[in-house]
Amino acid sequence: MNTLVYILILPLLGAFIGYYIGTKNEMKRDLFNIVLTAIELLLVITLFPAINDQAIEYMVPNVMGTGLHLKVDMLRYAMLFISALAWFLTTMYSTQYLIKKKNRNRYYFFFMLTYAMTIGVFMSENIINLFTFFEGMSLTSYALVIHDEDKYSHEAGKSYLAMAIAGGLVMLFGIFLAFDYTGTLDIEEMGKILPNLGDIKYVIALLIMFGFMIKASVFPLHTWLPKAYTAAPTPSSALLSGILLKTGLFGIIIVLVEMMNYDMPIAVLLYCLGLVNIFLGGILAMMQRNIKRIIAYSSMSQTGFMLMGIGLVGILGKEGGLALSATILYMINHAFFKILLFMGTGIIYMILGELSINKISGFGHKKQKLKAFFLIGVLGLCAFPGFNGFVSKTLLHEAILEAYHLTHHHFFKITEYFFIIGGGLTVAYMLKLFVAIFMEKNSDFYGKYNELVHKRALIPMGILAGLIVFIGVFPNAILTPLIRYAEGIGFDAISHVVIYSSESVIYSMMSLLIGVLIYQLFIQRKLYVKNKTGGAYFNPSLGWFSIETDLFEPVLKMLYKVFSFLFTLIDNWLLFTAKILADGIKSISNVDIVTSIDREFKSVPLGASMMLKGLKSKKDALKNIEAKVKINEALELDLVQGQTSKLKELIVKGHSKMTSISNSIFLFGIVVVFCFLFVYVMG
Amino acid sequence: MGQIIMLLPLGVPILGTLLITNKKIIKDEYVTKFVAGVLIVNFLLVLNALFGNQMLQIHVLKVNDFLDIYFKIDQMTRVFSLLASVLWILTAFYAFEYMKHEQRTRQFYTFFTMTLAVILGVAYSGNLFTLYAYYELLTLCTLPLVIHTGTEEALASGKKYMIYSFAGASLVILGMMILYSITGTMTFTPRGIFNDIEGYDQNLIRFSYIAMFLGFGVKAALVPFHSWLPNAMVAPTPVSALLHAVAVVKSGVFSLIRITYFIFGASMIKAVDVTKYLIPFVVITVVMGSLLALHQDHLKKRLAYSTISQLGYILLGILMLNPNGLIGAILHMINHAVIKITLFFAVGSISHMTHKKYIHQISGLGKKMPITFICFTIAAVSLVGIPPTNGFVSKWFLGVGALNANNLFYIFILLLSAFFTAGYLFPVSVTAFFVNEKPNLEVQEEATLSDSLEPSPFMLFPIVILTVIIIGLGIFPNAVINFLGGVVADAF
Repeated sequence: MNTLVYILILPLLGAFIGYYIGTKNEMKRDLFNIVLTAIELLLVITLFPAINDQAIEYMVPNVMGTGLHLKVDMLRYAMLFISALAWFLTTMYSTQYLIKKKNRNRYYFFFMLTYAMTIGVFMSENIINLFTFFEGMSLTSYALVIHDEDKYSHEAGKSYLAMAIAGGLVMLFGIFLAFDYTGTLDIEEMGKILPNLGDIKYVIALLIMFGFMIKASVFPLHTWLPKAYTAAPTPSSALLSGILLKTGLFGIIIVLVEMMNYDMPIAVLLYCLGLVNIFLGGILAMMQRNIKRIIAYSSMSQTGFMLMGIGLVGILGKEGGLALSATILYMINHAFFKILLFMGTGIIYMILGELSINKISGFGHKKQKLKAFFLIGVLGLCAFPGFNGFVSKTLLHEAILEAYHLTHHHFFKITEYFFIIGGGLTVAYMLKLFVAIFMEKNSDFYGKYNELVHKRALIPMGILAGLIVFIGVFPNAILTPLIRYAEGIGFDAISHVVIYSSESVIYSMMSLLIGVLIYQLFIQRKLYVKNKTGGAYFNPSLGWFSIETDLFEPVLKMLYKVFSFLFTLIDNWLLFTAKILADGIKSISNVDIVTSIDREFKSVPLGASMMLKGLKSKKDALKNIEAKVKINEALELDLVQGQTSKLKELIVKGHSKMTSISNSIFLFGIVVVFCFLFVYVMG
Repeated sequence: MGQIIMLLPLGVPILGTLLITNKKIIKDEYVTKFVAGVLIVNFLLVLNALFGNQMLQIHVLKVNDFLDIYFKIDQMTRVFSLLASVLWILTAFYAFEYMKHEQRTRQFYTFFTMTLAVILGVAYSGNLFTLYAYYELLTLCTLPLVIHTGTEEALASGKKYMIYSFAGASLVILGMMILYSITGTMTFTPRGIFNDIEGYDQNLIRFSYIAMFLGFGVKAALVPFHSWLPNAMVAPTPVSALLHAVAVVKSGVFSLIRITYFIFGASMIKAVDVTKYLIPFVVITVVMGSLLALHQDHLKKRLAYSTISQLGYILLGILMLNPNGLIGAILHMINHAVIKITLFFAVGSISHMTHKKYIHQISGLGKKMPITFICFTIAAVSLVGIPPTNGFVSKWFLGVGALNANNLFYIFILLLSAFFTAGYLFPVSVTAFFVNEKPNLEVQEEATLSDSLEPSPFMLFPIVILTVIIIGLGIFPNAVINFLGGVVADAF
């Protein structure tokens, strides 16, 4: 056995053991989970020296037919590390957050299962393994999204699950194609064959990326994100945004870099989608009033930056080493500050049970620790110099300039401006959030609830805040291994980058300035309505065109209805035709014979005449029997009474048999006629 | 001697049946034990016949080349008879508990045991005539099971079942007659009975194949001959589970594999280019089944439509006419049987314990019957085809087969239907586990509600075993796949 396998198995077993312990004693379960995630984190940390030199691979044969092929290189290690850290911290935080919630045991079970699956996604080298873990992650995290079991969370969950499954199936389509064309399932082997195929490689890459794009909330597949992030309990939202989002981006990197060998058209597509994401997410985030939604849309906007980075890797080709390291660093940083911010909102929600910015404004005015940690998160997200966001954004900016110098295409010059404005949007919506909660004064909350902000919830936030500052101050500690990795997998050597230069600080300040301007001129003036008691934000985007409710849903519903109608017809047509034909033939046979028989055999005993009427339908016959019996009762009672009852029974029996047999004969006849027609046509 | 041992699995259940009908020999309280004994003995006999060194073929009664009762054991026989006997035992244990409060249990067990003999007969048949005879018998001895409850609805369904089956059988006869007139033999032969492709009337062959495909397709619920299947859901759950997951529908599929690969042969069918007439039927079957399943609120009907769709997968795999497609088809035949029987058992447990039959009634039940619903969920995940479950493995082979047949459309259909599958199965689990009807329950009420409604071990045990098989075959499919490699080697 190998450390990699241990890392994979540990949370999986832990989920079941934890569940069992939880049925006995919840305190022990919480402790167990914290210890387990701590051990997992330690295991991941001890892996570092080995990874720093070269990638580790490990193969378990026969599992799932193809074998379990694990691999950890620096990219995967970075993802593993943030997952392990995030899970450790959120587990600690969850024990505090969930006190009031129901079904805690179930929550932790799926929490740990999702952990195992996520680890699996980041370690898989075989695309079937990757797919397995990816799907497993979608399913297990579904239970986290709908944990509250109210109407809203079910709606969010439905959207989440439907998109995840659709994405998974489209991805499977791509995997089928990839396997058919390359004959292998190993990602590395595929990377040797796939780039040399013709146009089909774009189909394959896009199909495989589709599933990842959904998870990464790339426009226009982002519709599940704001709902799911808001509905989930806060620790899960933190993980959804901090880590699960990254699995999508990770997958996109894998497809572009490892499978497609930095392909230009796809890279440009990603780059453009990244821009759309930045703006759409940023603008929508500005409009929101629910703080979780603000942060959710912020994740979408930040995804845009990372997508731009991934796109740049492809655009720059061999020169893309810097862009790759910048993107990975961005992913790490984003995990840190986004989890921190979600934890902050979680504390507010835990205490007030309220998320609307209008109702909680001024809550954090005097809560110094919370305020400080939250501020660090905000500064990180806004790329303020001295915090980690600054490092990754500067590097990314550097990469855009590099692309401009390399291609001399004005497109990149323009997108550079967009990039800076996008940074400004980030500043604007975070300012809105921070000012409203922590700067406004609200006597309702003054000095209250301080004792409810527990240490166990604040410690994880403190650790993250420390990391944010650490990376901001000593960027090279984390950048050096990333650059070494980039050079190791075939990118050109990267010249030394100066992060803190006057230029980079100026760019950062430009973003800040734009953000403050947007905040002052737009958010304060257009989105804030003053009234007698004070004022409130409103959300104009509620009435906007929504891709999900105005486009996806109506189209799908219409298709569903049309097809349902068609298939219901098909479902029944054979029965219809059979019935119509049978009825028709029956009525024809009834017309003549019955009346003539009636006349001819008027004088024959009742039973016999009825037997001859056997061709009539069952109801008619029964009616006639009754009628006749009534009329003739007086006349022939003595004569036929004994026989009648017996005969009646017989006839009724024979009758029902007749119909089923005649039905089958008719059916057989129809089949034969069709067959002969068929022979005639074919012959 | 060896020949007799080989034939024993076909005879023992019949003997058991005769004994059960006699109230003096088998007293009421021993019926279930006796049935269990017969089934287990028969299972051992099947194992012995399959893996022992006995002679592999026997002519029981040969009047002429046409009227020839002939049994033969090959790899396909092994797959199907093993599948049937294992699932029969599990179903029996489930039925012992389920049927406790039903009427006429003796009659039920009589036909239940007899059907096993007939199914094994289908599996052992060495030529088309024998297969056909057993195929007709199957209709006759499953009919009493379908109409077991004796209600008007059940009788109507039974009638429908009979009409459809016999109409199908008449098509099969038509095909057989034409085939016999062309070839003069109907013995199952690997790669087909046609020695060379040229020199036959292609139109007649085409016609004969289509007639037989549609005829056997009735039992395999091929649209438009499918509507007996949802109606037959009035039967008791063990019957629905067994007959509509394994026995009846799978014998239709099995017969189709027989005629496609052991009578006509893949190369002949390719040469006469007949699949293009049949594919539309199959594609409609796949999509229609899963789409209409979405409409059903009745749990068993939902599963019935799901069966229609999944059988479509298998038929599609058969018609792909390449090794991967065939492996996918046979694998899905096995996997779908295991999955669907689990789903039916779970649904049956629900209605047995709570008398709830509709989806809107089961909200919150997951907390009271956790094991049942966990097994249901795992089976559902598998039916959608999400790894690491066995449903994914068969879907993988079907997909690869579709690509080998150069047809992306098939994959599209498979995946679309898989999406619908998720759409009609996952809500069941979600409603059971996560939907809370009364969110503001008083604490005391909650305590009473949390009482377990889990069925007795007799019913739970088969469900759990099957679920373990589902996951086991998903994580370690290689043994089965290698075995099927041998089967497919016969066919190509």
